[in-house]
Amino acid sequence: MSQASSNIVRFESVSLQYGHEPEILRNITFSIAAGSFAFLTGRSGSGKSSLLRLIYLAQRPSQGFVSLFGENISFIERQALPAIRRRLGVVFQDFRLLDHLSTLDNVAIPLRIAGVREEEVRKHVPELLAWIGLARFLHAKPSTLSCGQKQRMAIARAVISRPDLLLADEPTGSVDSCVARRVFHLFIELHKIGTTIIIATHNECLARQFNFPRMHLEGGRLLLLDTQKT
Amino acid sequence: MMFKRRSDFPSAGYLPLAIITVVVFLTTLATASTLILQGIIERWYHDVSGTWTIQVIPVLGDSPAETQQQIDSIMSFLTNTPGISVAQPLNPQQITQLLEPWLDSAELVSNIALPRLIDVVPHTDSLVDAENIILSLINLFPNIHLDDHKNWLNNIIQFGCNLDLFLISLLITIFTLIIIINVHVTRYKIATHRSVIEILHILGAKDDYIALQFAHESLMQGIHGGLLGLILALPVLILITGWLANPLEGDFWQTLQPIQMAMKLIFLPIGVALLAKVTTRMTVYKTLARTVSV
Ligand SMILES: Nc1ncnc2c1ncn2[C@@H]1O[C@H](COP(=O)(O)OP(=O)(O)O)[C@@H](O)[C@H]1O
Ligand SMILES: [Mg+2]
Repeated sequence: MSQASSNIVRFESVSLQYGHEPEILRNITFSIAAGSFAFLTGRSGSGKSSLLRLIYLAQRPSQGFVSLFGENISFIERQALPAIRRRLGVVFQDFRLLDHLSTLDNVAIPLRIAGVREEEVRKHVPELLAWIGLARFLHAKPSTLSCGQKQRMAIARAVISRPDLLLADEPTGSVDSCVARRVFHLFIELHKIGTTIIIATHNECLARQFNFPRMHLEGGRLLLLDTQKT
Repeated sequence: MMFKRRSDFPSAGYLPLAIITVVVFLTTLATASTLILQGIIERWYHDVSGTWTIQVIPVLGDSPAETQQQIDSIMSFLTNTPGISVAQPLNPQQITQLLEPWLDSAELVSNIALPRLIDVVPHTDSLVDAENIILSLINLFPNIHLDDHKNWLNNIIQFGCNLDLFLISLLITIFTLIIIINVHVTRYKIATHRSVIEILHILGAKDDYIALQFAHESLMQGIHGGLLGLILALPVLILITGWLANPLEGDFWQTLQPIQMAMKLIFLPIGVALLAKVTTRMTVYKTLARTVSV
């Protein structure tokens, strides 16, 4: 791994526990260098989504420190979090689309939050949606779309603002293999332009198809596989 | 809808709007009625405060001609006095005509020694002088009596003050009510849309982004509900003023100054809307700071 300053994500002895349940993550330490592409694997329930939640700041660790973009988030005030979060793109496992908004408005949220002008929003969002195969559904509500279409919408929302770090939780879980290939092609393109990418999947075969480092969760512990190749 | 702005939140529905409509409707009626009453009082006050009445009580045994002579000398005294603009004696025929229906014959009336009345309008800028003049007049002619309507005016002034207090406490109550309603509606909306707020936060939204959207919706509900309440109150107000105008007749509408009144009333929905906006925005900040940990 390169020097600490170029680490985009850094966990130091991080543990996570929900209420009084047993620990989901135990004393985890790792770092992800800027510009890397990593898979996070593990069986269902092993804590992949929980680990990602710690990275996208939806959860604070029970113990240990999480650093993002070189800043220890335990010591950051709440008002400073939005600036960090805007450098992240997240594809949630359950999509978390806003049901009352159209495809266009859902995908536009990160741009509007960032204060991008409305003309640009109306130009860029349809372009991306066309590219991802949702051109016909610009004004459709998520509830009228199939699972695969919703997943593509969720991916579009995560990448629309060109994040520095993209977190994708089972991003190809609901799409057919053809679309899955297209989605991975998009991730690889983003990786090429410098985006750091972490993909959580329970599908180890999928992860093995790519020549990227793998972090494996088992029994609350993290095993680093193939980390020498970044 | 006017000023429609895109929001990431579903509409709050018509309940808050309906509440504001009802509140503004009732407040408009109460405020306008108070303003109308104040207008009437002001008119009375104006009519009465500017005038004094001198009663000339005929001296027993004096002939009508002697009384008339006294009136004439009072009149010439008054008209030659600076500080008095009008001194108008009510002519005896007028008094007789007024009383005739009750006293059967004009002859009988003319036999009664009726007090003669002189309406005096002093210049408003030299009230004290005028008062002194009239007092010296009373010294000259002991058989005259001055009525400056003071008791009557004091009561009116007191009533007017009470109306002012009523209006102020009414508005304070209403604005407090609007604040309370808004704080509760906003907290309820935040609780209902927790998951949307969480997603927006994760996507990098500041509390302000969320607060502005909530505040804009409150502002719109305030404007729409407020205007609706005002418009619904208008026909009722016209009925009330019509009903009041009947016995008061004449230039009543002019006295009311409907334009000025409308200018005052339009501040009600505007005030309610702005208050709703500010309250909502502050409530969102406070609630999010208190309840969101990451
Ligand atoms: N918010 C939560 N509260 C309590 N338990 C949770 C919560 N989220 C996840 N868990 C539990 O944590 C464990 C790991 O879940 P998760 O991180 O979703 O695993 P994975 O994504 O690998 O399937 C599961 O047993 C799940 O029931
Ligand atoms: Mg998961």
